[in-house]
Amino acid sequence: MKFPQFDQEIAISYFSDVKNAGQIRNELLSGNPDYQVAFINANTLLSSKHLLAAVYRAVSDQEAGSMKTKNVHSEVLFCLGGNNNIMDSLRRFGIQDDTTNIVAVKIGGGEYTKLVEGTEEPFTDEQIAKNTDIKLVKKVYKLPGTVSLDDRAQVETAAIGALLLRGFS
Amino acid sequence: MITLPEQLEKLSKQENLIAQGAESLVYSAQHPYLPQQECIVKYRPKKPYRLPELDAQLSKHRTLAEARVLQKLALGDVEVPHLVFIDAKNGLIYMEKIEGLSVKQWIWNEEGDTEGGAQEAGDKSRSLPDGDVSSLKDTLVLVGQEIGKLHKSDIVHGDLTTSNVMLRDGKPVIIDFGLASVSTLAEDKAVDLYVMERAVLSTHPVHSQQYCDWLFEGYLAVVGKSQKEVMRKLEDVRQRGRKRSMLG
Ligand SMILES: Nc1ncnc2c1ncn2[C@@H]1O[C@H](COP(=O)(O)OP(=O)(O)OP(=O)(O)O)[C@@H](O)[C@H]1O
Ligand SMILES: [Mg+2]
Repeated sequence: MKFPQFDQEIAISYFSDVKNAGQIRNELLSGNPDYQVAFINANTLLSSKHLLAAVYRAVSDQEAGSMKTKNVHSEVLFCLGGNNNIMDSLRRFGIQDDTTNIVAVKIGGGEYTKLVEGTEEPFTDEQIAKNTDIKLVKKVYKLPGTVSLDDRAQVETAAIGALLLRGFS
Repeated sequence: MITLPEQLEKLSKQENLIAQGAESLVYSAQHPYLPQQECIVKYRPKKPYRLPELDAQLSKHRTLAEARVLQKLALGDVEVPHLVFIDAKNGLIYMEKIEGLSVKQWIWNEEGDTEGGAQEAGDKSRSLPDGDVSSLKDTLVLVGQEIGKLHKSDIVHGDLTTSNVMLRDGKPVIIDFGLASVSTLAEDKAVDLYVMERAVLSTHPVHSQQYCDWLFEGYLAVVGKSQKEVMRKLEDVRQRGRKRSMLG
């Protein structure tokens, strides 16, 4: 897909039963240029809208020259977060050695799906909802008790608002 | 001449301008990141008469203030448009488009259906026909409740009018937080209610008293313990208003 205002091609894939998260992390840490991809712990995502809000912010910030991290893929992870702590957001939304559900976002075109050993699922709200750790999401965004865990729509709205306002408060 | 901000060139058109206020232009636009969806963009343009540096700061500041209020309310139980994106530097807030009529237009339609256009008639003695009383009453009580929830969240709106509340599937959604602020003071809430009363009086003159009664019925049912003080302050504010109008 493309955002109407920007030229970059944006591809998003959902993988379950991922076997090689540890290896992907090592490649990322060593700076392997073939791994210019945002690898996200799928359990931290609420919906496609939640992710797209962060991707859109990352691409906008890239276009405006106001990125806070070194490339647009790490910026997606940073933009998912609700605070200015880059390390914290990369850790929370990025993958760990034992992550098994991964959403990969590739901005600007190029092959990336072969990097992940797992089962590709459709990137849909139903698929995302299966593995959302909503308690974790609520905690990550420091949402107050007035936001009920049962009200997924409200958690989504609050999380998106928090990530959009990040850096402005 | 009003021109579409360049950020919106790919999402909207000049013709999609739906409102032009003192401070801002409101466009309907394609959603920036969700295919096949629409949104509303509120744009605070540069003012040629303000100093450029000051101007940029002011529009950024006000854009952020409005966005923060929307976010604060999204964390509670007041229905308001969801945030879609904030481009503070350029004075743009992208938000959810509320489908439906303003309460103002809805009331006018209701009155028109049964009275053949209430606007043209100044006959204050005329009562509302039974059939519609219930839907008007139910709706205005709900609007009053929504305003009560707003004040319970310690937000004062700053411009409570029947055009700044919309009805989505019959349920009120409050919009236009351009003049809103955080306040715990009964006085500020009372001024908010006074503005509402005056707006109802001028927009719906024939039945304004009845409409205000219903709005207060809803309001008082939800505000809880702060109501006494707010209503007392409201009486003060009304009196000051009367004095002012007597002085001319
Ligand atoms: N989220 C929304 N969904 C649908 N329509 C909207 C929305 N926001 C605004 N509008 C429409 O645009 C009009 C103007 O918007 P709004 O009241 O926010 O601006 P304004 O009155 O110009 O603001 P201000 O008082 O801050 O200058 C509204 O009366 C309504 O018709
Ligand atoms: Mg308005």
